[in-house]
Amino acid sequence: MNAPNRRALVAVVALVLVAAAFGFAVLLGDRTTSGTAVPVQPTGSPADREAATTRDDVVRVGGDGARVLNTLRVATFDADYDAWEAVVTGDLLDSLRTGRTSSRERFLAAGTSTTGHVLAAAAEQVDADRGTATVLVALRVTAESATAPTETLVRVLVTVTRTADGWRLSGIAHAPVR
Amino acid sequence: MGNRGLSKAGIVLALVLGGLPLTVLGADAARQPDNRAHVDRAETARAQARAVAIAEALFSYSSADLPAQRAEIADLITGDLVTQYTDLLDQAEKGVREQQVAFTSKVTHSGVRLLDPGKAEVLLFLTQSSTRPGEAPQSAGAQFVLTLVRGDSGWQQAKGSAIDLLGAR
Repeated sequence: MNAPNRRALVAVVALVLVAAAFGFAVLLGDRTTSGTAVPVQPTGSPADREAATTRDDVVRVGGDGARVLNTLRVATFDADYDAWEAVVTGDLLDSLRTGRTSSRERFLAAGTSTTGHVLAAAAEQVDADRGTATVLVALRVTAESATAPTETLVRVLVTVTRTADGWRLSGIAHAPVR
Repeated sequence: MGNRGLSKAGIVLALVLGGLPLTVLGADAARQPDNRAHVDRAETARAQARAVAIAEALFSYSSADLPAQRAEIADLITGDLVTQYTDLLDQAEKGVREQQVAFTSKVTHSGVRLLDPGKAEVLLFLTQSSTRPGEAPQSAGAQFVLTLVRGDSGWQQAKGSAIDLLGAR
């Protein structure tokens, strides 16, 4: 598959904001991966255990990153946007930082908050040597504004890249219907 | 799902997903210690390919080949999914025949999240296109987890045993 590129990533972010402006959710979710899960020691050879750990890491980071990038609330915009910046790297991080001020203005003017919840996540491809992986994430996104909340099922492709600080999202794009 | 429900946009998804009961999302299946997904790459690839083939076959059919479709699924699915899928076809059959609909499904992305000695779980993103005489084709997307049970001779002969629609309705 083609890795989601930066343009697609930015498009997702823009889409979130556009969606908020029009009062419907197009964003994503939260999974059993964060916080409370107790890591299980994989079985097998050291190489197998390393591969299993890598798989679990990229799925956890990819799923949680997709949730974070689909969660942006009026009451906690700055904290949420900080979380966005914390889960991404590379060009995506640069574009988020560059667009922060304008995003805040548009988002707060639109007044719609979105919260993501991960329904399922799985690695499509893992390349530990190159430090990249692609993760499929299905999410439910709830949008809330002055009107009744709306829910949308969203599916995204996330590219994660290994950094000195661990795995981070380097790309995210909606999986198109085609 | 009545005949009336088989027209216009909602119909495609209804035919993909309608009638299949939700199953409970496996509680963090990926954290099982014997999960070989993306550890045993060859077996992961086989399970993935089989899941793609099953999903595309289940959701690709036309008014002209419904009997053949019913025969074909015997090699593709097992257990409760047989009943669920057969019920789905029963419900859809009248409308499909009347409207001469043909469905073609293509998995656009897939990922194996669990692979243990006897079972695999594969997350699939699927696009289903429908065509009717005199109308432009329509497409709709779906996402679900297909559970496979391994065949005696390997994942190439695995059968689908459950579909988790991830909250779609």
